[in-house]
Amino acid sequence: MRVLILPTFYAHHLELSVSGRLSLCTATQVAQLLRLAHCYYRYPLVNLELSRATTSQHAADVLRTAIQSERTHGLRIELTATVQARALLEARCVSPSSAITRRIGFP
Amino acid sequence: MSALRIWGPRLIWLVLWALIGCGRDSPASVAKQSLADRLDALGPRVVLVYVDLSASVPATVWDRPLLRLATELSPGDRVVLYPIHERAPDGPLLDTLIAGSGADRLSATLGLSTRESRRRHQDATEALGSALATAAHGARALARVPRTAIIDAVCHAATVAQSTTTGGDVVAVMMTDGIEESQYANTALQAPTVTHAIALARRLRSRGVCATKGAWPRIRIVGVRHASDTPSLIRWWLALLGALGYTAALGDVSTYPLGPILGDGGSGARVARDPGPGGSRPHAGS
Repeated sequence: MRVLILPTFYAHHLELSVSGRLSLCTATQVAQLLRLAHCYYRYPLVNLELSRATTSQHAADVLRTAIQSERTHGLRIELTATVQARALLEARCVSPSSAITRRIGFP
Repeated sequence: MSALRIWGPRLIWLVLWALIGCGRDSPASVAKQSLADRLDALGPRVVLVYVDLSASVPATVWDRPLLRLATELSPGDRVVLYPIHERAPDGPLLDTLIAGSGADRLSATLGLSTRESRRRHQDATEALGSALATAAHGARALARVPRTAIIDAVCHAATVAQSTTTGGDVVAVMMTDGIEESQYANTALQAPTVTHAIALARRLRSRGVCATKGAWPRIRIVGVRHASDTPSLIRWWLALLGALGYTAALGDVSTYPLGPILGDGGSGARVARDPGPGGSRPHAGS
């Protein structure tokens, strides 16, 4: 199944549409594009469309790390994905503030 | 004495090489400049594509050039598609990018890509080509424009190039038949002569149109043809651009059938061949 990544730059956000089965390499490319949004927008927002994509566990790990990392650097990501992909991607996406809260024992 | 025998000739050679190397047009500085140019050519480009949507141009005429343009791009290149209307375009029809890192770009340029990455790049360029064509068709269906202000599109490209801060090479590809039908001129009715082009450029500059002060993008005008006299139309465009301050070469204005769309020196390594109607798919980077 062919994997297609078609990023589209809009005035205020980057739309990143991915279709097909994501390999590790494609997940890395998506991560690069997420990082690239910082270069083009002052208040970067990415609409990540994965509803027509399937992903392996390894690719989901790479993407999850990238999403988490970019969110901590101020990138807003709106994710559109299948329930399964969303579960894979956001299962362990913990924001730093909530991680700290959990560590020091606050509810 | 023996030290002088050893170090004397070495010192003379050192002075000679220093003199050769310090000259402005010396081989060393020319080589250095050439290397810098090559490295610049490896950087990601911004490609501004302007498609003529006027009624005089057939609907599917830009499909093949757009697909071909997509195959000439490398990972990291950004493509922005604009319509050529009766005035300067308000916004892009499509603004996208070929995914890939600098390493992918270098590999593609040097022909070191693996089969898998070549296949991935090929898929991406095909998708991009069809997305560009779809966007152009969509825009054409919405508005069939009776007039074609190509000069406004050229000036728009110059403005965009000046505001681009990424530092890469900016290329403006004008896909048009070259027949200007606007408030400035009508080359369909009036014979396009060099005198007319120079007078028009003077008039434009006096009105403040296209009064660019910074660097111009590299301009390629693709698909130029005139019902009766195509060479005179090409001369008209060269004279007009020259009088506006941009030095265009004859190879930058191409008639149909097409040569390379982007036309830079490095593109030969990136483009295999014209896909042709129904032909086999090109292999980027081969």
